[in-house]
Amino acid sequence: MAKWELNKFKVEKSDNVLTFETEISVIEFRKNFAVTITYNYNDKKVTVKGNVDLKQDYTLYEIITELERLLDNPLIKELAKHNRKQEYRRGFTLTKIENYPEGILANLRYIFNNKYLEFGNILIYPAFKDPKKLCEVDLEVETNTASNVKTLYDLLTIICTSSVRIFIDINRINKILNTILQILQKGVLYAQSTI
Amino acid sequence: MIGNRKMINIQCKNKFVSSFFMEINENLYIEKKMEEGHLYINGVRAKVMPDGVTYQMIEPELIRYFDEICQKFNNAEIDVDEKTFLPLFVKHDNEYILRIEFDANSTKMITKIGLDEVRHIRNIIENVFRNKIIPLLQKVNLYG
Repeated sequence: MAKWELNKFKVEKSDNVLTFETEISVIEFRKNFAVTITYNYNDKKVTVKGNVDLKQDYTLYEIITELERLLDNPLIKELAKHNRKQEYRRGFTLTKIENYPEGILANLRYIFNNKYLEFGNILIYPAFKDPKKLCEVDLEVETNTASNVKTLYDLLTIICTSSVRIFIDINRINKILNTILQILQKGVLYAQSTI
Repeated sequence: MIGNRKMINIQCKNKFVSSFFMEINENLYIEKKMEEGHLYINGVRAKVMPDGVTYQMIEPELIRYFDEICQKFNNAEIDVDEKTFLPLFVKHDNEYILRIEFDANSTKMITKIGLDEVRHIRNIIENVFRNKIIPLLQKVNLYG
């Protein structure tokens, strides 16, 4: 695959609609590839927008399944405990994405309604190999859930006890990105063969 | 004190406590001044106060408990939340290794060490305060 950079990775579920947005720049072609996948749980309708040739086949549904699993995360469940309102939004976003030749670093941001927990900067591509590393390296943790110091420390414990799950989620992100990159690569090969 | 948040301040030197300051309530604070091995209550040397003998008896034990907190550090400054006994910031050898910042809408923790190490430091400090320092102060009526 040509040299590429990740600009955006955002998944959100609100009003019974799952929305996924990602944007990848392929440096050699100086071109941005963006895709938005929307899955409406009411009518089971999937909409794909953008300039990535993502067909409505099993690959697309596999991506949606992985996205749903990303939102079924113990950290989001923990945020829900601190928000007594009925769920109207949950989300997972990569923020402060930094692209390096060796890999991509980003913050992981988990959202439940108006509550968030964000920490980073973590190697998200390629995925780090040892889940234990997450709590061995320096991190910045930010949240609007912890009104007192104890809650913040409790969240740290949950981050560390969930490190294997976070590792699995980062592998999910890698899987989704690799699927999209494969589609982009096929598109490039096709474009080259038709010139 | 940061805003309304009261803190306990501990200074460590070569793995031993150099000084500490602990506000117990609005009318009472205890401290050990830098390089001195004595306990002060509201700025007065404890042993010259009424009940001074009692205070003098707990002096070495109290300082030893603060030493336990300092055992992990060469030169350090530690601020501890006075309600929860959890560390709010740790500056070790002139570098912040842990800093918790509160603003109106969010709380941020910045570390130069891993979260496992942060949790380890938290356990040491919280345990020493809850199981040793506070019961000792309660024994001599210096903590409610």
